[in-house]
Amino acid sequence: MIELKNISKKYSGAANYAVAPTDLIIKPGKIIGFIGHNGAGKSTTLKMMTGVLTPTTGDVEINGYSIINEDRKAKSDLGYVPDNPDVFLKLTGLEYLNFMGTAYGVEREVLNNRIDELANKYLMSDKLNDLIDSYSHGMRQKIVVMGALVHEPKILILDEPLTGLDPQASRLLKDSMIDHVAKGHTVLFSTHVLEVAEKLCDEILIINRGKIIYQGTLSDLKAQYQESESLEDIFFAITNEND
Amino acid sequence: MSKLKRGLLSLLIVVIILGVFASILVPVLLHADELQELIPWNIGILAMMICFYLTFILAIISAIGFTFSSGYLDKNLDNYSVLPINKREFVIAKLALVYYNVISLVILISVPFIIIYLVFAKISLIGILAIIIYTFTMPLVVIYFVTIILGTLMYFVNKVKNKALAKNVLFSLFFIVAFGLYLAFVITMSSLGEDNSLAQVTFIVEIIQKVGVFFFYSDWASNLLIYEDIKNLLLMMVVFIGGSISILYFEKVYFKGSLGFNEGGIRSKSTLRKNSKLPHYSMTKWFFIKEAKDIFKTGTYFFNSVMGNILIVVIYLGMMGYYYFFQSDTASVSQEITTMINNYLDIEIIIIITIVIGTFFTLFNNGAATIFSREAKSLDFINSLPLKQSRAFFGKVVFHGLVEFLTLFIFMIIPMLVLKISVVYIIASILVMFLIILATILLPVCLDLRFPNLDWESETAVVKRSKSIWMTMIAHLILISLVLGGCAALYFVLDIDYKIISYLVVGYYVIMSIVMIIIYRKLIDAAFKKVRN
Ligand SMILES: Nc1ncnc2c1ncn2[C@@H]1O[C@H](COP(=O)(O)OP(=O)(O)OP(=O)(O)O)[C@@H](O)[C@H]1O
Ligand SMILES: [Mg+2]
Repeated sequence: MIELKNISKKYSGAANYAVAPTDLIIKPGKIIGFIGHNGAGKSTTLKMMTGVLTPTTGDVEINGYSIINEDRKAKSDLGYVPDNPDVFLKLTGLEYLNFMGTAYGVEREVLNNRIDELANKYLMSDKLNDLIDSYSHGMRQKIVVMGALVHEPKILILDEPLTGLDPQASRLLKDSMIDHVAKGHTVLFSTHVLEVAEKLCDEILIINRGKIIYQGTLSDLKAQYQESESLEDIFFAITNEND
Repeated sequence: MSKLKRGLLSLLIVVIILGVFASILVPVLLHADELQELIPWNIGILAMMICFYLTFILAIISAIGFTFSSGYLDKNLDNYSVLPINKREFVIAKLALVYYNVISLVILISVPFIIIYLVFAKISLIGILAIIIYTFTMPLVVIYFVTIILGTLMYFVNKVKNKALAKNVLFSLFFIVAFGLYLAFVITMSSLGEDNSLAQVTFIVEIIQKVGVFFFYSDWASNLLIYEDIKNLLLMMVVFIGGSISILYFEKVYFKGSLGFNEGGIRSKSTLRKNSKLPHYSMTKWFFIKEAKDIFKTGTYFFNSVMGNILIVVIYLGMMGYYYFFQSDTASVSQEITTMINNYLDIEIIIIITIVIGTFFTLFNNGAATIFSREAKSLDFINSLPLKQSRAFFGKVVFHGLVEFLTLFIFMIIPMLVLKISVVYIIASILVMFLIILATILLPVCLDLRFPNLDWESETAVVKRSKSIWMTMIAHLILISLVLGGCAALYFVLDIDYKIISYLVVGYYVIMSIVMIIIYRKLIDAAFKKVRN
């Protein structure tokens, strides 16, 4: 469970909140889509949840552990895929996955099996001994996702994971998000592709200008906006309303 | 930074530079007479010769580095190549930058020597003119050579399949070849003795001489700039024109076709190897591996952090080898020296020697000065991992400590083995090395943690223009003058026994290590906290 308690972020020097004070509870076992315009504050919110950014006010609890005061316990339950996959370029894919496994304290045997499994699934087996530097954007995206899955996190947080993936990889990722949730875990991801959010998510979270303006299922949302049909129409309607 | 702060900082730098100048100038000027008695040549001329050698080496090293980093290793080149810009202007701008960087270094180093020269040698107008021309044109010559050789070699490198590897190999080889040539020159010159004219010098030397780098050598030692000067000035002109031509040549070879010589990227592909299981490492070790790979696989980082160490070892071993194998009389001399040394040696002398050399070698550990800044792009990600950052990052520090240790080890231990010095002394020396490295390796790290540069685009920017880089340089100079000056003062001024001094310095380094560790642990937490804000 993720619990945001009065959390907000104002970047130093900025006049306005990038994320205004927010309370939010995300229950386990669901895929949640996080949508909003460019600059709405999605990445900022996700970064506060993962301990990448310290909130200006408030706290985040991950399964009961504060991300500020008990950060290592809280972070152990998380897997995070950042919006920019260009990290650790001079390691090979295999080294990177081992690095991640060690960081999250995965047992050696388990780790080796997982790496094999993930590599087969994401069709990366013959690339694992190459430097990440030599990977294409999509391959880098894949290796970062694999790194986040290596410890079977209870909560998987992905920042625009589908950008740059080919149809096949994107299908793979969507499938593994579904699999992950089927195991009782939580997946939270931000996206600009509304069709994906519509098809994949149990719940959606809409943010506009730093404020969460909707949390709930898509069907509830559709019930509110009977005249609109697609999520896209509703999205524009709801964000315009709040401007 | 406020204007006042900036002003004060520049003032501080000026004061420190003056201090370094003074540390060379004052002893020479004060003990001029005694020195003059010891040395058969005019001190002023000698100073100028040393200056020429020093600046020449420096110019070679920095020209190669700057040319590489602002040329081949510039990640932005691909971006520039899509712009409708005049390539020649672009190339000239790049080379001007290289020139500017090299000349700043050369001028900085030259100043105290020029002062000594002006004080001791008969000052002639033409002499001063020659110095000025030399100072400003010598870097041009060096850049000229570097670009031609580098450009030609790169032309072939770009045809090779594994470009990244080829570039790195070339990068390392280039230095060794350059220094091999230089060494060959020095050895030839010294073997000729004083009376020989340059006409007898070997072919290679003659070429170098013709282009005007070294013609000062013999002239200045024998007769002070009379008709030779005019010849030299003419040669300088030739050099100047040569430099200009080199720019055109550079453009042709270096930027063949398009600026996008990085086509396909620096990306290296490894061969299709079956995935093998990796051994289980601790997080600290993983960061050690990451640092090692970052440095060895990124040309700019490699050059800026470990190249100096590799160079000094190669040159050193080369010289040792030369004297050991080719100077026939060395063998018998070394026998005498061995017995003599072993009679006089005690553990305190070993400690002092290790401290002096080890303290000097801190100048090479500037790789640690960007240990945090270089991670700028992955700090966010590292923050999302459940790690104890201070411990994990220590893995990166250990890498630089190890590089430092290996350099120092080779430098110290090989002569000790050659001189058959007792094992006890060797062990004592190694222990002192560990101590010095522990104390000093954290100094640049802490400076970087306190003044990080996280807002960079190119790798060159982070290793060249980070605040922590020059701060480290200054800190090291202060450290060296503190430790060495302190030892000298205690011994010469206060007449304290060298044995006591050796333990005092060890004590100093012990305290410094403890203080540095405490500061490191404080700063790293603060630095990561700052990133999260
Ligand atoms: N490091 C930063 N410093 C200052 N302001 C920032 C910083 N990062 C983001 N912002 C500001 O915070 C706001 C929210 O940015 P954020 O990156 O969270 O948006 P986003 O919803 O992820 O957008 P996108 O869809 O483009 O990724 C924006 O107004 C942005 O300008
Ligand atoms: Mg974003």
